[in-house]
Amino acid sequence: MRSDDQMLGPRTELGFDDLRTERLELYALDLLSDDEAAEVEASLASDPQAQALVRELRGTLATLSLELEPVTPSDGLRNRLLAAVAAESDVAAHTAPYVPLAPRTPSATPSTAPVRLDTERARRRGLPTWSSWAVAAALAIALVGSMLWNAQLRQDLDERIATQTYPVAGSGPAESVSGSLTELIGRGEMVLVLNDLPALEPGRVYQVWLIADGPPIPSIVFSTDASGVTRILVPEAPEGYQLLAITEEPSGGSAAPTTDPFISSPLTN
Amino acid sequence: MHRTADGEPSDNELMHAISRGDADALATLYDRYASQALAVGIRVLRDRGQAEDVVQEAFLSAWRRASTFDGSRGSVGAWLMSITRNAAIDRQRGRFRHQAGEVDIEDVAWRLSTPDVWDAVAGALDRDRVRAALTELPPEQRETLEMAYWGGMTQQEIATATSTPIGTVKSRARLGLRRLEKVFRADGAQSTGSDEVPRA
Repeated sequence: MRSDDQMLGPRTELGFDDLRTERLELYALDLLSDDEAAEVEASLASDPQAQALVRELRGTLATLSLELEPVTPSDGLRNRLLAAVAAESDVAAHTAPYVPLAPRTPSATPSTAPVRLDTERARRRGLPTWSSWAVAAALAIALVGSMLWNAQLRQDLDERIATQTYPVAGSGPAESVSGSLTELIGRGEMVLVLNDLPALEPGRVYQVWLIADGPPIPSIVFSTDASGVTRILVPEAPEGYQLLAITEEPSGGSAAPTTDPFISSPLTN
Repeated sequence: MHRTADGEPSDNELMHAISRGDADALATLYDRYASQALAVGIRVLRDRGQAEDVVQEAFLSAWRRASTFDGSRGSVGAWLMSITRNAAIDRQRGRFRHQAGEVDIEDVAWRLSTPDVWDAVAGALDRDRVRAALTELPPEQRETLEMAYWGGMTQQEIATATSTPIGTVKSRARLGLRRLEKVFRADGAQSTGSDEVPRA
């Protein structure tokens, strides 16, 4: 039986076209190093024939997914996707073009309210202390008087539907996070916009909690992409809820927080 | 592209509707492909929760980039599976080369533009046929292909894992890919030309 190498022909006999084809095949297979891949990509720009070959091979590889038995997603996934789309649609419809929130000024930054919960993400795995939630609540309430939100976003939203906007504050690993929580009055929804939200490690997600006097009530789970800009639709908090908080949780979310909150927003003015 | 045999909107029609902000069209596309995409995510990540995250990212990417999608340059199904796979590989390896699913649709479009075999293969082959094609590969070629495509492993990693010279790894991967291409093309050529998408 011929070996694999023999079937492809002796390497010493490879001509330029063969070498080129080999590189393109390995590129399509993602087997080249980053440097090699960059070289191929540079050459592809001016080589329609090579582009066609890579397209063809990538298409073939994509069909490998047809081998797999489909897996029915959870209902929650569909709901989360459509909620995220609705949130983006709302924001886009009311703020076109979208203008990022202005950076917080010193006056808008929580003076020092130490909603410092654990700074090292790897250590934020133990159960949170309720004092942390109390501090988060205090911080959020303290922010009410110094809230800062993007003027254009607010104006655009107000021109179309009644809204109420609350500031969002981050701490610890999310200290640089800015954003806003905008209640779309009468629509039963709130749009949460966060900037500079750090991407999480695999297997971890962000989870929203609504807080009144008792234990936090779990709300939606979300993740962010490399852009760090997140827009999500949160179901409107019923009467009596005073605080929205965000924690990091395992994929799928938790019934009760397993980490301390590091982003919060008041729900009352 | 035209409507599928059962009168449902084609994938390209859905992408066009999505580009106009039609969330119902995205929901339809999701219903059509999410199960297959989730299988891809789970195949790579071995974790349902993470796989669902990746699938959500892939469909959000479709939503955000639909207006730049040129249906004449590639198939939606292949594109969705590719970005799901790429995002899953990136997540598995802790890298963000593809920005966690935000694969540039233009980049993927030229990679997958016509002729891609997705429609032909999906229309002509059933799942068993794809599996049979893989089974017909020599085991070492299939193993190498799967380590590269589903495992996201580099040629060096595959060489180490299989105690095989890098040159042989390359040969096996290329041969396996060529054989699949040949089988799929042959089967696609025998199809009726339907652009009906595979239903999960």
